[in-house]
Amino acid sequence: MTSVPSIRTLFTTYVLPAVWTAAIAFPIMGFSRATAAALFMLAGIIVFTVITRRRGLRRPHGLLRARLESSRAVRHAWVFVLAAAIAAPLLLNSYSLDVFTSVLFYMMLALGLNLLVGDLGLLNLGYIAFYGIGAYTYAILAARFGISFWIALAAGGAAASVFSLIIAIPTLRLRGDYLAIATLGFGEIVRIVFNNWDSLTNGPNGIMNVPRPWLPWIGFLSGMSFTYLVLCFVILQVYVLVRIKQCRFGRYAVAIRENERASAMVGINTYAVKTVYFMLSAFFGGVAGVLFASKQMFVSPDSFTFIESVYVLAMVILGGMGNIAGVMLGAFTLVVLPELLRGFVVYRMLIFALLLITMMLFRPEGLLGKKA
Amino acid sequence: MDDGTILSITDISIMFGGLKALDRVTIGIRKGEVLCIIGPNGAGKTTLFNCITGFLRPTSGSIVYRGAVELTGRKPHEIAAHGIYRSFQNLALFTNVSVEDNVMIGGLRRKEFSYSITDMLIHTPVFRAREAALRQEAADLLAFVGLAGKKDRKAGELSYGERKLLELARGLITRPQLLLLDEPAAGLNPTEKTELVRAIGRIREQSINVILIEHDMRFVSDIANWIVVLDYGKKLAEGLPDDIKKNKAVIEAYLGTR
Repeated sequence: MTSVPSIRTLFTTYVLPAVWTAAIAFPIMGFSRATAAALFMLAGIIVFTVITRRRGLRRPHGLLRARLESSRAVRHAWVFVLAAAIAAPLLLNSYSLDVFTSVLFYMMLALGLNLLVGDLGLLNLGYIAFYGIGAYTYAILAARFGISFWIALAAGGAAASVFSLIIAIPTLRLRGDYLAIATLGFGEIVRIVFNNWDSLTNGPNGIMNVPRPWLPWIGFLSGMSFTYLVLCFVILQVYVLVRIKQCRFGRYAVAIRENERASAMVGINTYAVKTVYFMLSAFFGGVAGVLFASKQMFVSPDSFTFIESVYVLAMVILGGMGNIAGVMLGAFTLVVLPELLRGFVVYRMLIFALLLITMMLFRPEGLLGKKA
Repeated sequence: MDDGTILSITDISIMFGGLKALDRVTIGIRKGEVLCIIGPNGAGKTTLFNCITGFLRPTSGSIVYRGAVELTGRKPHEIAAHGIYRSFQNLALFTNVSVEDNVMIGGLRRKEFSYSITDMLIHTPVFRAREAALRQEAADLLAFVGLAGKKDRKAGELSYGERKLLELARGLITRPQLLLLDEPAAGLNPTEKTELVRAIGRIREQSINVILIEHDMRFVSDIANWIVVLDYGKKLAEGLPDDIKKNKAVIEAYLGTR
């Protein structure tokens, strides 16, 4: 089937990604090389389009096509990304390694939050609280009581889950905006507790001397080995999340997001499913928090502000709600982009904001999101 | 205590502010019966369905299922677990999900299709077999309602009539013993109506009890063997279709008095 594509499709499929690439590349590469990068991108997309059409697949929409999920091309892409991620720590210098580790942390967070925002359509504006609870649990257990990393890791995830249950029981009866406000309040309460409970959290000064994770034969993990540890957790998390999506439980979430009344009528206990999702989401946040604390070797309330919650939410929305690969891409973009724009100190945030607004105008469903 | 009564609704009343939406309504449905509830707009028909399925809690009265289970005060999903399914007047489908998945979601709660967390994490043969069985049953039911060819379409892309049939198929996969259909024929074209009458007839043969709300008297006479007429929240009359058609009070309620 060859039909003449509309101007809008032409624009969103070919021109926009190229211009976008140029805009990102411009601050770091200068005009001529940015143009080259854009042209390269354009050529790539055209080739991609031609190949997918030849194979009888649906025409890609926008940057990439979510419909290709589970197709062979996607499997190849996953393998490629995995290989690149495994190779990356070996090739990166210490600054880039730091950025990369940061990407991994935010991937864990964005994927965890996506369980709520993407899969269930519940807005959580205080997600960073669970990250903080995980981090503080580890810091207190390890720095004060000398409890080992692996036990504290489980404890951090569990603590976040327990706290999420406390917040979930009253708030999950609320809908939409009200839930968002309640979670926002919860996030702030947690941060203020960290800030003021001096005897436990050492207040605004934070907890220092938080130990690194320890593994037999390797010893304390730092630098590259630490990055690999986080990478393992990301892979594990993605695996679990993909499996959840494919099973009964994942379909409950889809059903609830699509139509709560109908879900109840086919026997789904919507309240219970939402609670479990809330806890699972918090668990991932808590685990990420433990890893974060063990990387920084220091925790303070400053790391868990409201703006961090918004940042993680932006990753989920930018990448494509409900789409695992998309959310990971969103995390990658939002961590790496500001780093790339560092050269443009004054305009950095301006360019960043412009790119986000452009994205939302032309692809409101996110980079890899499905068209609603 | 099984005297052949599937559902006995006794003296159900519900108030919305000062309005009595249902006023001491008593209805019994016997095994194998297709009961039809008719009445002018605002008579309380859908409210009655909402009471039976737990979306509303009646102010007084009781609804007893199979002579043993009190349904008032229970949550919709608990009521569904007893084998009661309802369709909604204005449709409640999973719009952005494929037709096949819509039906499959309906069957998720059935024991035959369940599996453990381990099964789900490593996709054991048990997992694959159960998923395949569920998919197969969904395919069979889609064929039953005549939507086999559209299983990969999104539910939102179907025509209005097709969506109603899809909602029916999703209900059947839950293996209901009591099916509540809220205006199933509204908005269907004549061909689709014939299809629906045929489907309901076959549902009845599987000894599934059906209660439906309907306006189209011809459609009602074709399938119902008992009719209850509601008006202003009260039961106005009940009886066989032919008697109801001749009932003066019913005609007045619909057409008004001279």
